[in-house]
Amino acid sequence: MKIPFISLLATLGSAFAAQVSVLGINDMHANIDDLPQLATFLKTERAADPDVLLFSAGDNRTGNPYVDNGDQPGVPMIKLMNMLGFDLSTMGNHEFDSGLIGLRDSLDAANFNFVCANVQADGGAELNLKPYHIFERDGVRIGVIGLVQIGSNGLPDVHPDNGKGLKFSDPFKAVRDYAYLREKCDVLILLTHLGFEDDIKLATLFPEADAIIGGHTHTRVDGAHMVGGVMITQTENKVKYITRLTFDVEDGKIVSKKAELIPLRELAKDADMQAAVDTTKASPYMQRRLGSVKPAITRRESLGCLMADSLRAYAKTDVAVVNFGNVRLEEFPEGPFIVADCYRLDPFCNKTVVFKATGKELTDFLNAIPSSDHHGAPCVSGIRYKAVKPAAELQPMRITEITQPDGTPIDPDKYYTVATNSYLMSTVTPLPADPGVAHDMDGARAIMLYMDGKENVDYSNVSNIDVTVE
Amino acid sequence: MLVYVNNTSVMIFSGATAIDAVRRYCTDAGLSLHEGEIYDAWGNVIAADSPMADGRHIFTQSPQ
Repeated sequence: MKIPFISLLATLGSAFAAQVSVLGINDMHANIDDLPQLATFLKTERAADPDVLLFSAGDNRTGNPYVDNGDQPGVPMIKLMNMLGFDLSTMGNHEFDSGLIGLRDSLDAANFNFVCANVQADGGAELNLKPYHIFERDGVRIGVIGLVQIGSNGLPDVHPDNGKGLKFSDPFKAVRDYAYLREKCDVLILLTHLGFEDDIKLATLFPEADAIIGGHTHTRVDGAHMVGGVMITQTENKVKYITRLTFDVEDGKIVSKKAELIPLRELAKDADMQAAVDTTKASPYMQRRLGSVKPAITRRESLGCLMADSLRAYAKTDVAVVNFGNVRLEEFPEGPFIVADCYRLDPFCNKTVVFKATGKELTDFLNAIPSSDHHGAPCVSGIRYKAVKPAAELQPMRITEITQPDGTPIDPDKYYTVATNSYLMSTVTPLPADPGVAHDMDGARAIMLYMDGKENVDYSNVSNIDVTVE
Repeated sequence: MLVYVNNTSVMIFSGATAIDAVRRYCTDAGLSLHEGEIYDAWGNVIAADSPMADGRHIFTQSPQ
């Protein structure tokens, strides 16, 4: 807390004046490589104001295999946040990505509090989670209420299985239960993971708030967006920016407030935090042996078939389709297959999308892919096809025969379930009538699940496609 | 789900991000894929992986 000199002179002997600073960041998504710059910034801020508060508006994790896929998913990020001196976080939808047990691990590992007023453990289970928290800085009381978004299914944007054991409620209604905090606090902040559009709605429904430090939509709000008297802030994502909110308080009333968006990426890296990040990345996780390949896979197309088989096995669909450009290795040597190989094979982290298509729609979908993905013909699982393709680049191929693996023709009128990646589902035209549903499963993790425990996997000559160039 | 890019309705899979919606918009319109910034209805820049919700409006140029 700072005591502004001019305010001090003006108010000595009468009113109490103070300045409270709060730093807000959101959607860090486990981007640990940029935490050393954040650490440098925080050292400077704390040198100027040791009482400055540091809040996260959720989605601290998910986006980095070193954080998300180890023995305790999410916990490595929490440990780094402990080092950075976070004071508070709300829940983002991705805090639930490892279910109730993973959530409990993260909450218990934190040296700081988590707040969220619209979630609680079901059935009387205990969670280290409160609806709000009140800080006190030299007599100024700063109340913070946490909220997380929920979708039309009553859950945050998370796999439904990961919401088991938790009860969620409407954030716009839940926050009203804590309106009484307005009378108890000099500064009242909503720390939300609702998205910018819903933060605007929230500011209208809860004008008692002084500020909303938001997240979820990865919106870069330059300073503050004002709705009535409520400041709304958000810092895009992945530790690119931080917002400094400043409240001048006199006699328990805010007399002025402002917010400033501060870029972080150009700052020098703090050596201590860099060492901690390096330690996190030295985790043996990426070197974990999943299985083995024998003999060597010498064709990119065969690796594409392995990827398509992985998607189909995960999604339990009739068919899977992977675009050739998604296959990032030309060959794979005989020997062990480790976790890092999954990310070398598919580094894109595209989500898996599952949709329903008639045989005709599936054929049209496949025919359309080479025009948007000019690397080559799509790799498939669950079907075989023959096609002819003009020699010219970017010209669509034409499927001449499409069958199930046993040779049974695909029925043009029958519906098949299909798994593919979000890139194809956003670039291929025409799309089937069903636009599909994205799963929180990227290609690399699907390969990981597929290869785990498989020894001497033979894809040396696997191909489900036969394309003739005209 | 139905979202809006440059005030044009775009049908996209549930769970799509802003770049998915913009790619679908560009593909449907026969445009080359947009590689610049993406904006919300208030003119704020949003990240390419900003999660989309049914009915959300985004833009390839600032609407402000």
